[in-house]
Amino acid sequence: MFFLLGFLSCLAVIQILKLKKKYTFKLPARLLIVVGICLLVFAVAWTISSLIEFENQAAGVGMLFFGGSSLVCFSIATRFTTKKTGEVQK
Amino acid sequence: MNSTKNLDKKITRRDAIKIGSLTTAVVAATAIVSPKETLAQTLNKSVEGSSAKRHATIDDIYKIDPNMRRFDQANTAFCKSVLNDFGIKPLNPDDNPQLKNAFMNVVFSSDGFNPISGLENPHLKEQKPGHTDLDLALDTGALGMENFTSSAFARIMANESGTAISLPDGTLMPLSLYKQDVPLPGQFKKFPKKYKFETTDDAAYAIKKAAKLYGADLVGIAPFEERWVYNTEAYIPFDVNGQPIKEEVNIFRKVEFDFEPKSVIVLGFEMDYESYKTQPSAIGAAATSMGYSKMMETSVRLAFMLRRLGYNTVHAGNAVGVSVPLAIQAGLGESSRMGLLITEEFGPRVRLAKVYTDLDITTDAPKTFGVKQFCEICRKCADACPSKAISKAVKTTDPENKPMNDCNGKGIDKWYNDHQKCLSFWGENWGECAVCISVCPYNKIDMWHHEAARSITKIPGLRNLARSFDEIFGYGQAGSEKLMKSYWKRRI
Repeated sequence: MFFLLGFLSCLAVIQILKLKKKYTFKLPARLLIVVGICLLVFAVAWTISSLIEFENQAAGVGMLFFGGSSLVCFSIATRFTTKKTGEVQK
Repeated sequence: MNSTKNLDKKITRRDAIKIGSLTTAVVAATAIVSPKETLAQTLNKSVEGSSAKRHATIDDIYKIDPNMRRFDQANTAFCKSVLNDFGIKPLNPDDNPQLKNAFMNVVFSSDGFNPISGLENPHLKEQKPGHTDLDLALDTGALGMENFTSSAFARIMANESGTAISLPDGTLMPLSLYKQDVPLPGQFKKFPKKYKFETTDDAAYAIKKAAKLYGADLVGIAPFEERWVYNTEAYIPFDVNGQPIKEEVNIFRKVEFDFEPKSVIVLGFEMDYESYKTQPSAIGAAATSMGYSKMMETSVRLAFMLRRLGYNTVHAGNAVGVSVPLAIQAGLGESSRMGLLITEEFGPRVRLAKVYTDLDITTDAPKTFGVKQFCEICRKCADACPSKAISKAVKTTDPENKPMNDCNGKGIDKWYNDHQKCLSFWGENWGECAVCISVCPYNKIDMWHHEAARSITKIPGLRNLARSFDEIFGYGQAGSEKLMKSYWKRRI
């Protein structure tokens, strides 16, 4: 499970770095993205742990609750994000 | 100028060797001179490892009447029920008809027929989920070790004193549940030479280490206090052949030790989480029975070890004295609304055994981690209880929270529950209940996310959220036939 969480975190960071080339993140967006990633990782960890102990409802509700919260964070973060324009790298 | 020149000077290889050697020498000297951590200190570190608050004695946590009368074992609902069914006059005359056939139905549930009352187990007859032949066989197997050993000891006891419960199949068991203060053969006798531990801390370490090896999940040590010893204990007067003893025998005996106990080693055993989710059923009862078998095995082993070291012991499961206050004093957990011990590790899903000894040993301090405050708000056990036997009073000090009958030990700051109502449901169910344990929000397995969730119960403003979250997330769904049916289909 921890391998998967590490892989997921790494993937998220790579994705953010890629997006950073195209977009400008204001401070609230940066904070929301960090919180969102943490919540997403927590949601995955919670769901896997709940499935291990055969608590299917806990797994589902956990994914809905924590995963949903992370999506909310990401969607709010887009409001504080602007696309980079006109800059040409030499 | 000179100083600047010195600063600018590069560190040579020789200087580096000098500095390195000096540092190594200093570190080595410090390691040699500094006091070494004793084994006991190492163990205490691992025992601590929680955010719980420590107290000097149990009286610092709960208000206990100094004139409190010691509890009589014959006043437990179990003893009352058995005495009722055997037609023996109880210790106190105000006995309750609710208890008729209650415990004996449970004892004979696997046979499907209670020979004392002539009643049949209806659940087994209709192969109700949780009470099928397979489920009851699981329970019988789990209790096997306890029944086998206690029966053997009871036979010795019956030969010695002529008092033990005899079941029609010839099994003999002492009502006090394996208090084995009988003469033992060979190496199990007390060794004539006493082994001396260097310190009482070392003794505690050795005993705890051995108890863990022998199978205990939790170990704590409490000082011996007479107030937690039963005033009298009860025996049913049947002889070794299972025949009722006609002549006058003393059913209720004063609990006495033939040595001066100094401390009590309290052992805790986790009961299986998955099985407990199916309560009230024979599958859940199997987890309890496994607990009883472990209690027997581990307490016997520890007592025999202590006897080999030259010390006196009396080991007991539910006998000799009340277990919950001893476990609290031994630092294993806190008392709860349902009256059971709540541990940090397994919640209320533990069984307790104890070994009384005259070995000088360092005792543990009681701890609190917010159980009482959480129980005041939660009340999930009281709502789920099938017989409505658990108090719904908000605080223990509320006027409606008062002793129900003789089954309650009086003079202690706790919630008073109706144990007779509780046991009467066992009789109806032809098996144990333990729904309160199953639904308790503290009843979780040792996993990181439960640790995180449990920390909510320690935050005053968030305590009322803990129960709601527990229910939304689907924990503690007792009595679910779906869970009973799916138990055997789940992968191992």
